[in-house]
Amino acid sequence: METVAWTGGGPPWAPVDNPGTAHGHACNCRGVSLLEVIVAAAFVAVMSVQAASWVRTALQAIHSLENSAERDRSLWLALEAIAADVRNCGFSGAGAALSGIEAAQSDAIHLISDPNGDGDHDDANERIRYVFDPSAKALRRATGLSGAQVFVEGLDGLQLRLRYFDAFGTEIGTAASVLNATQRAAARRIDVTFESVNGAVVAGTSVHVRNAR
Amino acid sequence: MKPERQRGVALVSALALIALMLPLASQVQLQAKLEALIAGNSRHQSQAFYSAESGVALALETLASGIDAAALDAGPDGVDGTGDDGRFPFPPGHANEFPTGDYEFEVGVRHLGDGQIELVSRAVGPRNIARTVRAVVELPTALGAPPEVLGWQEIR
Repeated sequence: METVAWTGGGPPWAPVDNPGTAHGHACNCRGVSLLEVIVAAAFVAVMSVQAASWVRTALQAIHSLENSAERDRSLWLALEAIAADVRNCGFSGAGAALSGIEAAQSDAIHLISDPNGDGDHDDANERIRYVFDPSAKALRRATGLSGAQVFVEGLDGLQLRLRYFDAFGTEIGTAASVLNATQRAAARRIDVTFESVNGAVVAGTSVHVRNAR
Repeated sequence: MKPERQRGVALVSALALIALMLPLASQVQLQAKLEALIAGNSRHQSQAFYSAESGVALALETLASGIDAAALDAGPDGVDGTGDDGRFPFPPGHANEFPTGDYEFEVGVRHLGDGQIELVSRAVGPRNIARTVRAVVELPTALGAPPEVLGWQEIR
């Protein structure tokens, strides 16, 4: 192919060493061959595949981060709700003494209170139960006499762990035990944690049973 | 020697990559902003809760220092039948902020009978985040004796 000199002035990006033009530029007007197009297309395709791989990886990372953040938020909200209910348990609007922990074990707790002071704990929100359901990988919460609803789900590899302590900071009961009435009445502090199966704490809080007397 | 004309796709590739990465970056930024907002709200919730608790604690301290039970009904101005009746009569000059000026609490008081009162402390913080705590208290029978908290509840 022969290069044709451009006499009407060349574009500024053309080579500068051609003295026969108005700007000292030349124009490469030969176009592109099929081979060049194929090579360029192949290059773009390879780059696109690589870019798509990067994007897929980035999207997966974002998705994973979002899921992790969402689960952590759910865990903290659950902890706040459990802590608030433990703090409130045993409250009587009439100022009467009331044992707030009706049942207690390492992965479940039943709490009662009497905010309206009518002497019973059968009204709305006067009886609250938290139960960890390992088969559904979920924490369930029930109020009143209704069935337990899923409160937090997707707890893969996690378990709820409740530890009970007396006024001297001594742990009451063992991991597998169900607390009896005396032990429940002695509980002054409850540590609530979400732990992995190897015992690593993912999220946790410590809450005092304020209405215990 | 005439140099070869420069050809290539570096600029186009770079622009394409940037165009692909831009939505991802904005998504990450949005997520980070959301997390910061949630964390901020959570902090304000906790602070407001402790501010409301401090209101109850201050009222208990005032009760322990000796206060006429009848004066509890008259509000801070000490006059029955005025608009501030039902508010706890803290002594003049008390602080109603805790832990900082961003969180203010107000304590209400109500007689329940049998020497018992109900204290309701409501604290408001930034973004109008509020928490309310209620305590049933037995009034001290002797001067200087501490009031007894019979019950404590957070109202939601």
